[in-house]
Amino acid sequence: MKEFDVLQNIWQDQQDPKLDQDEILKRVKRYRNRLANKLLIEVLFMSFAIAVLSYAWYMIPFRMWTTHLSLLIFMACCLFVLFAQLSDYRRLHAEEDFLQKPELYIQYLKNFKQERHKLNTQKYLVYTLLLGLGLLLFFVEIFFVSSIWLTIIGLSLSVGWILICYFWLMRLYIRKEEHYLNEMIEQLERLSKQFSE
Amino acid sequence: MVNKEKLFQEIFQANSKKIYHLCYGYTGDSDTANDLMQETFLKVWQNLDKFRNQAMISTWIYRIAVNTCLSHLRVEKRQAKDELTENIIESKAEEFSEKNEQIALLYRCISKLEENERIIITLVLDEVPYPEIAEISGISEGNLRVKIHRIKHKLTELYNRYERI
Repeated sequence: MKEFDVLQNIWQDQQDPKLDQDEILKRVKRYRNRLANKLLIEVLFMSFAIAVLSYAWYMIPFRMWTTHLSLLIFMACCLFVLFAQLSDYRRLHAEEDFLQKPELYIQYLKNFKQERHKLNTQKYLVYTLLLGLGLLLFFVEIFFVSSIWLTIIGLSLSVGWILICYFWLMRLYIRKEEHYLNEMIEQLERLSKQFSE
Repeated sequence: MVNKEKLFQEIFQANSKKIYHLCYGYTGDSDTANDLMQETFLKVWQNLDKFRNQAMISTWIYRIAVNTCLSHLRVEKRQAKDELTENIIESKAEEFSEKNEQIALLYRCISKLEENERIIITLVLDEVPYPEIAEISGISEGNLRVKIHRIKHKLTELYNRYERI
């Protein structure tokens, strides 16, 4: 029959794990570089889209005001996505809230979930509607300069893709993200309850 | 940057063993404990500037480790092989000895406790002062003492029961 002191001695007797701090430092650097690269790629991708739109706007002599308005809407959408991604990305990886007490961390996660939900639903709806409006306006000029069939095919494909994104891909994404966050919150709440019992 | 690296190395040296014990006690699995310890120290690195002048750096690191452990989801897939499987802990063939068996049994018993109990008891076994454990777990010291008494009893019972099997 062993007492707790004996268990403590067994614990103290365990061999020290051999920890390679250079390896962890290398990993830290790799991780930091990967974050920086990801950020850079996102910024470059969106900047490229904005540059292409600006170039097309400058080089092609669009005749109708609807096209100019549509390009403006597209650029606004790109900028919105760019800033939304950047701000969430930076916030997620700053992780200052890991420094806080468990209950504050749960609150942080709940707030984060709410904000993500708003972004993925309300804001994404506005984004989709604006994108759809932009496409409609853009295809007004296409209708006048090309055939009706080309307009119909182009518009159908674009709107079809937007609908697939909105009704299928985005819902899958939201479900996955919310499942992940809910499970995390649930687990933390259960533990918080255990601590306070 | 050089200073930051130096500071990080000092912090790593001073705390990694206990953080590994905490993660191992929580997960009951050395690979996952290794992953969680790495994640903890990544977060330490990321937030080091904010904590440079604070006195109780170990409390801060424990809190990061606890939140990292608690946030660890069973459904979460392990990250890509090249990210986390390079064990920081040098692997070597475990020597068979009575001592190793006892340690393995102790970890197995800890894994039978509830999650919060695992965290508290590993800190107790590593002789972290009670006020620090209370600060890490966010409960009062009085409440903590009661809990510790109960967990010690539970763990001892578990150990004795499994040892007989």
